[in-house]
Amino acid sequence: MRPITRHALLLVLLGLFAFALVACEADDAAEEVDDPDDDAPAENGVDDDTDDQVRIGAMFPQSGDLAFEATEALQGVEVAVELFNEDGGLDGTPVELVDADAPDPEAGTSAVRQLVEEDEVDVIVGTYASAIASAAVPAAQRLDTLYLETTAFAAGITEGPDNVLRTTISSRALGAYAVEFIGSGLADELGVDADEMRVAMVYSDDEFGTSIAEAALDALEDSPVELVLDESYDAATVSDFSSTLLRIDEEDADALIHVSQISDGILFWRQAQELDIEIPAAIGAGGGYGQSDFAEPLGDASDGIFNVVPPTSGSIDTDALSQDAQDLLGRMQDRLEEEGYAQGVYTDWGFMGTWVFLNEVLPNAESTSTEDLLAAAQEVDVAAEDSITGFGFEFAGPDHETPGQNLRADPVVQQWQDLDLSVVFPEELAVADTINVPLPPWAERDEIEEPEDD
Amino acid sequence: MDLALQIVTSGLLTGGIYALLAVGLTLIFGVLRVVNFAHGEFMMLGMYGAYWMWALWDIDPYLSVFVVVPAIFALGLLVDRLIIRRTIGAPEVTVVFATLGLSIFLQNAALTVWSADTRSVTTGYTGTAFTLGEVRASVPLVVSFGVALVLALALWAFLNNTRFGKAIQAVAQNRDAAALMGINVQRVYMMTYAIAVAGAGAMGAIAAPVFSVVPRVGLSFVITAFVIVVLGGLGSVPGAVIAALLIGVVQSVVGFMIGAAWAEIAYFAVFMAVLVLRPQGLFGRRGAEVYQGA
Repeated sequence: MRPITRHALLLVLLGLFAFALVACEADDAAEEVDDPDDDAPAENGVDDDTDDQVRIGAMFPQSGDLAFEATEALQGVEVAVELFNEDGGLDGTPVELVDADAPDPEAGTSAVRQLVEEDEVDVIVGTYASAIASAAVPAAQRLDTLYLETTAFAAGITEGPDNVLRTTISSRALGAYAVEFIGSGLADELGVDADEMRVAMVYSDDEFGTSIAEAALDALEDSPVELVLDESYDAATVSDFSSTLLRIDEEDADALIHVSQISDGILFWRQAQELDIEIPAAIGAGGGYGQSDFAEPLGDASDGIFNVVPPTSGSIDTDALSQDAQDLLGRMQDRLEEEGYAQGVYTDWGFMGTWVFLNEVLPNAESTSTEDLLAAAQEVDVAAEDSITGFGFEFAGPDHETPGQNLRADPVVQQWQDLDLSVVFPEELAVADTINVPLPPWAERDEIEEPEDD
Repeated sequence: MDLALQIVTSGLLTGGIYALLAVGLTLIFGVLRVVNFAHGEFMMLGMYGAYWMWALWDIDPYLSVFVVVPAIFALGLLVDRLIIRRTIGAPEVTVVFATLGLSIFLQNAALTVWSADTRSVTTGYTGTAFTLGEVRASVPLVVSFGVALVLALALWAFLNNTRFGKAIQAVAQNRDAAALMGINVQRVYMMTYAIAVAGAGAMGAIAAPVFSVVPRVGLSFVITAFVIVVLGGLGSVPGAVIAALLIGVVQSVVGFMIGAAWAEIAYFAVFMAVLVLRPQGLFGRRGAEVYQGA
């Protein structure tokens, strides 16, 4: 190679390296948490016995790519704290909410330090994004601070750390439930025996995607359903799904489990339509499949696609809730309206998780130490009908394989019907019958309608 | 379905998208010797331009491209004036970080102005395909493929058949000699940069019916485009097109044969093999590679 060519190549490699550094910021941040220099426990700075006012640090991405939905969750937390304080707060003293922006894992670990060491919060509530939560939880653990996770699904959050209460679901339950649905409800709908069902698993290779996929793959091992394709991809760079779609077609899959973000989910289905690939049933697992930005560009082509998620007030029959839960839902919605906030799925999860903590854990804890809060959490017993989200609350104890996990956060299967998500499984929570099972051939579907302009 | 033909067709069409971006990048690389890390962001701006004209006024992206391209061209002139011109002749690290900084700036500006929402253009031809026997070819991808080839051909003709095109080639070969011959090197740089980023903007508008737009969408394509540029030969327009199509097909074939996760590994393997056997790239001319920086 001529020296001058090497020079140019070096330039490219240097640039690519710099680019990779930016792209891998998240990984670096996660590693930073494990830095042995940081292992020494830092001063908490909180005197639980003398500080009368409890401070809660709310840590969500308020800027950056994740801000939109994370802000919904933060608004739910804010409203929960406001309503709790209106009800008299903790023994007459209002709880103070301090928020911090955590747009990525590195910022998440910094936010934990800032909230605990400078703002002297007693508890941190977060986080929306699994990658951020996975970095922030160990940071809070080293600072001996309880971490209340209301919205992130990654299984690892409650599979190791001993300072976590997670009010929402674990990705392990999501993946397992998708498989359970395929082997029972869906197999019946398709008229195929469960042991003849052929499933393709396609997922983004980020933390969110792999944690759900691993759970689904584990569940498939114990299921009569056959796995015919296991395919991961980089959601940040994928530009073509044709080879994956052709493989699904070749394998004659009856059902697809797809864990995706929004853009890749749309690209996948547009290319399926272009290539005329028939997939009898498709189940998304949270992520992009639960967003209106996914369904609207697909129009009628989204009708019949399933999504497995924890339920929310928007997807269940709220008349079946207890009167107290209906009243609480009304109060939350009134306050959201007063504040000019929209009610999204993350609003519900952020609100209800925080509400349960404030009303069922905090008043029953001897102090705000992690140990006492976790002990108080063991006594929590909220039934599904008493929760605006339609799932109850009971936290796993320290000896459980997922300590701090809400064991009553059961998912439901929703289905896109006319651009709305409706719960269709399990039967006791279903608000609509399934449609388009199996998904009709592309030629028989209505033309894609253009969504309303922004 | 003739599966093999379908896989190759899909790969070629995806390669067409890459080609649109890589052609401009190779020009900047070959002429200015600037590694333009902000190239993907000009594509992103083109996508947003097409999206908003569709969302607000229902203008088809294939029409709005005629507005987007001049706008991005003007932006390219401005960026050259403010940033690129000042990095010419500076140490390579300065150039790399100047364009990287521009890339991050443009991403975050888009994030602030348009938020992180995923925005998608849906037209009457979205999801439609041409059918040739058993083989199906996405209508919007066929269009982008055609536009890529036409633009590349036009650029190649411009470089070889016009006085200014020859001036660009002269500057690419030897900046100092070109200056001594009376060529306004500064102007050549400025126009080259603006033409190249306008190409990225065109790609953005043309690709809007296929891909959703988010502030980081450029990142998805630009790393692949860099591989294509080096693979095709620095500064070679035909090389960039051929390499883009090759990468598209390799991705598609390996993705089908082994799995999507292996597609990227495969094209980097091709990339390394070509560099070992032919360091100047598939169509690179050794004379055109002479580095003229500081």
